[in-house]
Amino acid sequence: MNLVTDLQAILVGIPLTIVLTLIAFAIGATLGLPLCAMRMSRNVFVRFLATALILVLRAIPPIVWLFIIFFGIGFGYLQLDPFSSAAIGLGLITAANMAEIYRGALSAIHAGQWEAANALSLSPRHRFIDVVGPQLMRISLPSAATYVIGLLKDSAVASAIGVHEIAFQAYHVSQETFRGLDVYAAAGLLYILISLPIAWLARWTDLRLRARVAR
Amino acid sequence: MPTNSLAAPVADQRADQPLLRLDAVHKRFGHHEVLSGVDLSMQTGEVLAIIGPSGSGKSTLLRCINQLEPPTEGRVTLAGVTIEAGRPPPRKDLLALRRAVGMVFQSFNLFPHLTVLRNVCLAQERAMGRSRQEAEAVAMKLLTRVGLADKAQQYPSRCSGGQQQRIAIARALALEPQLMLFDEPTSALDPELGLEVLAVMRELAEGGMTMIVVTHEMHFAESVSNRVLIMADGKIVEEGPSATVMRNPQSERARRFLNAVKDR
Repeated sequence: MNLVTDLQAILVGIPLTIVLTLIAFAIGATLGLPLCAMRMSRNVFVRFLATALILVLRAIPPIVWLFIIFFGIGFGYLQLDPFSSAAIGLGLITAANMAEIYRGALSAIHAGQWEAANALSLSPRHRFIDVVGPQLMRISLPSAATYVIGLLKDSAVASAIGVHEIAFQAYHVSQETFRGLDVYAAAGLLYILISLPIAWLARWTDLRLRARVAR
Repeated sequence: MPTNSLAAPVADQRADQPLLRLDAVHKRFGHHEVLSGVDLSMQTGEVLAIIGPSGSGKSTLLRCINQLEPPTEGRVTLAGVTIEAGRPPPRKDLLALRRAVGMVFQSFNLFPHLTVLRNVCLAQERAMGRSRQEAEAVAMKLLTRVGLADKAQQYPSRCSGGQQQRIAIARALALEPQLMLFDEPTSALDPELGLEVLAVMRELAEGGMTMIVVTHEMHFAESVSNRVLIMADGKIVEEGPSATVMRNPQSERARRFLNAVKDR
C-alpha cells in the first residue's frame, strides 16, 4: 500500500460528502421557512407544534436521528437507502436550525419595511417575495454559511449507516493499512479544504450585499 | 346623449361626497385608549395639517386611515370604500383602500435592497399591474419632479435623509393616490434637509393633491394647509381654517399647546 492509492481511496468520498451536504442544506433552507412562519404564528397551537418540532429535531444527536430513520423507518416502513436516510435526517435537523436563523434575521428587519409594503398595497405574497424575503436571505447569510460548514463536518455521521463519504472511506483505508494517524489527518485536511471556499464565498457575497445597504 | 345625461348626476353625487370620512374612530392598545372617538371629513383638494403634543394620537389617527392600525371601533370611508372596525376587512376592500392612499413615513422606509428606481417601480408593477417599461417611465418622471433623476440607479443608502424622503414621496405618488398621508415627514431630518422635503410637499399641495400632514412645523402648517386640526389626548380639540386656528384658537387646550410651540 502506498500513500497515493490511499489518498485516492479517500478522495473517492468527496463527491458524496459535498452532495449530501448540499441536499441536506437545500432541504433545510426550504423547510426552514414554513417552520419559521409556524414558529411565529399567531395561532397558539401552530406555534406550539413548531416549537416542539424544533426542540425535538435539535435535542436528539444527528447520529441517533440517522439510526431512527435508516434502521427504524427505513427497514420497517419505507425502503430507504443509506444516502437518502442521511439526506432526510440531516435535512430535517437543518430545517430546525434554519428556522431559528430565519427567526433571528426577521427581528433585524425594521417594522417599517412591512408597513411600507402594506401602505403600497402589496399582497402578502409580494410583500415576502419582493421586500422581506431578499432582506431575510441577506441577513441570514453569515449564520447560514457557518451552519453549512458545521453541516459539512456533521455529514461524517452518515458513515455510520454506510454512506461512502470521506469519513467512511478513511475508516476503511485505515482498517486495511493500520495507519490511523496519516489517513485521518488526510481526511481532516480534505474537510478543511472544502470548508474554505464556502467560507470565502459567503464572506465575499456578504460584503458585496452589505456594501449596498450600509451607510 | 343618453350616456351624458346619466353620467352627469352620478358625477354630481360623487362630488358632494367627501373623499374621506371617519366616524367615531376609536383605537385602544390594551386598556390604553389612544383615539377616543374621532370624526373627520375631507373633500378632494383639501390640505389638512394635524398638530398637537406627542402622544396625542396624531400618528395613530393617520395609520387608522390606511388600516396600518385597524381601528378598535368606528368606520373609515375613503374613495367609496368603507371599512368597519371590529372584524378583519375583506382583502379586496383593504387593498382598494390602500391603493387610494399614499403614505410617507417619518423613517422613510425605503427598501434598502432595491435601487431608487426599483423602489419607485415595485408597487406599480405588483399592485397596479403596470409593465416594467411603463413603471420605469412613470418613476423617472416622478424622480425628476422631486429632483432626483440622477439617483435612479443608486441604492437608498447612498442618499441623504432628505433625498430618501423625496424618493419615498415619489414612490407613494407612483400609485396615483387620491390622498397622501405624511407622518411627521421631516422629524428625522436636520432642518436644512427638512426644507427640501417641505418644498416638494408645498409643490404637491399647490398642484391640488389632497393631503393630511402630521407635523411639528408650525409655519408649514399655517402657510400650506387650508385646515388645521389640533389633537390632544386622543381627541380633536380644535379644528378650522389654518389662520383662525393658529392665531385665534377657541379651546383652552389648543391655546396652551400653541403658546408652548409658538416660537418654532
